[in-house]
Amino acid sequence: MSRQKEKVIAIAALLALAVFPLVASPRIGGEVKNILVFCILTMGLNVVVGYAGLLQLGIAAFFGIGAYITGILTVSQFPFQWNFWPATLAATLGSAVAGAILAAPTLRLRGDYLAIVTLGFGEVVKFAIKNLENITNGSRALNPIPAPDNLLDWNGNYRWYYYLALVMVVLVALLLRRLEDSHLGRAWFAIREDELAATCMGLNAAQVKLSAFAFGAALAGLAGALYAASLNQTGGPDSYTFNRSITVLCFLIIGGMGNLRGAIAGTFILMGYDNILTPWIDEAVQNSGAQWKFSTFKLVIFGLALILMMRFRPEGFFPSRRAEEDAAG
Amino acid sequence: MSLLELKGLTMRFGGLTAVSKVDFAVEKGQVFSVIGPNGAGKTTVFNAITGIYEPTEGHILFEGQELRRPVKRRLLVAVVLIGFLTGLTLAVCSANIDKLWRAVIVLNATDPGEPFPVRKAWGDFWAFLHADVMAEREQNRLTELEVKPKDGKFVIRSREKKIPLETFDDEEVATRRLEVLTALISLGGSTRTTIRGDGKWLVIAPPRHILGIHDTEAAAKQQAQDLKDLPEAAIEEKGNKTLLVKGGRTIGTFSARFEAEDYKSAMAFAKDAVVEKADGKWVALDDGRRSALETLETREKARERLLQLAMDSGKLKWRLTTRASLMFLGTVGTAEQAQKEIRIIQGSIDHDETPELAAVHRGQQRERVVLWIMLGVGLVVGSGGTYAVWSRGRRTTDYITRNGLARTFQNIRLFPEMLVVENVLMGMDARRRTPFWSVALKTGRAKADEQAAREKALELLAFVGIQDKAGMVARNLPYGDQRRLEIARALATSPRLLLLDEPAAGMNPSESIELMHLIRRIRDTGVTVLLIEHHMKVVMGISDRIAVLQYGSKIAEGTPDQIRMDPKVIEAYLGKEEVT
Repeated sequence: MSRQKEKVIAIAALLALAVFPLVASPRIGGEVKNILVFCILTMGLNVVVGYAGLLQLGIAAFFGIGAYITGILTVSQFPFQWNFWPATLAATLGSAVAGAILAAPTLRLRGDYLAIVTLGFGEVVKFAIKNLENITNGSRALNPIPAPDNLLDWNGNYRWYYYLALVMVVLVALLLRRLEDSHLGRAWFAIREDELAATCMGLNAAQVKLSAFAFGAALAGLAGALYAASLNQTGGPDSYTFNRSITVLCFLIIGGMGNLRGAIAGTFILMGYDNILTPWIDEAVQNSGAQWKFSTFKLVIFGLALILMMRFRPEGFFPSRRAEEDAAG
Repeated sequence: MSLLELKGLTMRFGGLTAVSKVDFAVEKGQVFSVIGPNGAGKTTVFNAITGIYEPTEGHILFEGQELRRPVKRRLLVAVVLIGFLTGLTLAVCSANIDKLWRAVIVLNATDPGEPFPVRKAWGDFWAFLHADVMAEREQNRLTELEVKPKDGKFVIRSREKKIPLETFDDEEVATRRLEVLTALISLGGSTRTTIRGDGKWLVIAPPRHILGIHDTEAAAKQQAQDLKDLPEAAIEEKGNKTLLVKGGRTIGTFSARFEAEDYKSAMAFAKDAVVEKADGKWVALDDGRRSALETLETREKARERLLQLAMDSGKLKWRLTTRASLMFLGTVGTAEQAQKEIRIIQGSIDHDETPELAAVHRGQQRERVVLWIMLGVGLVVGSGGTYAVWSRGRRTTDYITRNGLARTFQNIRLFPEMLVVENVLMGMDARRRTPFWSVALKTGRAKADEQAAREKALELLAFVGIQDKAGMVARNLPYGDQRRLEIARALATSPRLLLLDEPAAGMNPSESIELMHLIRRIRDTGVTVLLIEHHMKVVMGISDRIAVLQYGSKIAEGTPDQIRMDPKVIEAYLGKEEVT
């Protein structure tokens, strides 16, 4: 797929998404809004796993850190009571710092060992959120998170958060596309391809890995801030479990690692299946008077799909440009 | 001064000596070859030179100095800073973040619109770290007020603790006052319910019970007049409405006769109501009913009054706790008492009066000691660890490459999934300084930088002769071109010394000759070449000087002609001639 064709498809998809909430029902529109927020999270994970090739199993922790920083800075029970925008910025930067602090001592670890560390970090964050009751309200979550401003009816109409998420997705995608084509993004690819060769090119592997980790965490934090704002609350600690990290990794595997199309498409395919298609089939089945529910089988089908995927198209639905060119040549 | 100088380089892996006391010097502009049978330690020498291995013994000098990251002031600052941060983190963690947050933020939280007491919070932060005693407010919703007749007068007091609050002569006035106070107390000592009375007029009946807030004086006077006239007002029925009328003027309209009668008797106490301007005063409002309760001069006074009432009635208490562990020490009624208790506890640190105080005292001391130990341990471990990790990575491949020493690998190590041109760009990327924001905003500077780099990459590809394959994925290149690409990529780092590890391996004779030409051209651009090679034709054809390794030791060094005649070299390659 050439760059030109890709651009056309991207703009067409963007237009479709921009018009979508005007015609869709609020329930489905709200689900798509959530999908857009998760697109940012998947793109963040893509930076770490897809671009830099570092297996990261604790992305939900940074998602949670972003959500809770936003919560702490905005809710009325604490004295900060910032506006949404600076709080979002703080959530993004705060997650990046957390990512850097986690990455700095673990940079020497490779592959499985790094994965274990990130997995452990995810659990630590979950339990920290649960147990730091005075800071996070424990399992009751921080709420209410005020709307970004009073000019628009943010809480009454999901569309404002929808468009906010859409604009963020576009900005993040644009930023990542530019990084991909620059020396900063190339450094990540090089580390993934061959670390020794990359250091022989004068790249400081530690710095590059650190930047990938921090950048991925920053995007996850941004997604967390949007998620919390659109929910009006941070969601309890159970929203940020290992399960969520793995789900997001699945988005990436299904969609295709190491490229934006894959990350976005994977999120839409899996979350669309889980949150839109499954309820729709359930409803259709119930209307036909049958006694079974499709949603009881949804995980079975998902598992089967994943196995088949790994067997027949391990590079995902939308493999990176490189893999595709390779298949063509 | 030689460009590269090896002095007694020895490499040992466990008990195995791979390279032993190798010396040689590469002069600028030379093509220097290292040859030797398989397993002679040639690649190990290369790895030592490029920083993949740290030499066990000996020195590797590039342009007269060892390539190690220098100790700069910035590094020392970073080391101390990381140590300090580690210490601080440990100290804060040992003091329990959750409780620290509670003491500093939650307990100091004010209502919306109020400024946060930053100074006090900061003081609380340090006091927490010092494990001091603190007083916090605690709510207790069980207490109610009651009116109690006493000596012909009526006392309002708290039902549970029997604390008298106010005394009145008239029971009805006392009952009314009780309602006001109950409303005030239900506000919980909160200042949320005070509003500024700027430009408002109040109708106030004794004892300072506010009956109405008006925007104009006329409206307020009208209400006061109505209240004064109320006892003499007549009840008239008109249609389905009941009116209270005095001198042709309607005071109130009701839907039933009994309502009018109730109102008349209930408001009888207010016949002496006066009108007051509330300018600059603060009115305590009952949130639920939005009726005014009291006026005070300043917001602080209003707040104090609300707090005091809640205290007196027992609705609010002060809880004494140690900060660090929030260990409960007791409750007292007022803030003054709480402060006094705290002074007593802190004043008694030297003489243990009671077992409880002694326990608090010991706890405080322990907390303080733990805190300082944590800070110290963090400082030492943090900065020491940072320095140790840094110093282990002083001589690394990337630093050496950036200082002008590039290499290729015996078994090709390209970035297989990247395009050919991107592989070459990688060689330049480490030197590029275009910042993140510039790339993110796609400024002219970033575009120009990338464009220039791409042009240079294509030039390099043309130099090695594969410019027409720039758009291919690297791993699809034929083998010979992969070698060329690796050389182009190494040249992209703008090296002064290029290390080629068996570049002719797997090449046919014509490719080898092309390679020889390429190496010559590289040397002609001013790059010194250090070569490992097995193809004798290549080595003898282009080398200015050759060193021969066997079993990790250098057995000969000299010009190609000298090496060709050297009996040791012949022995190493062909075996010893048997003398019979």
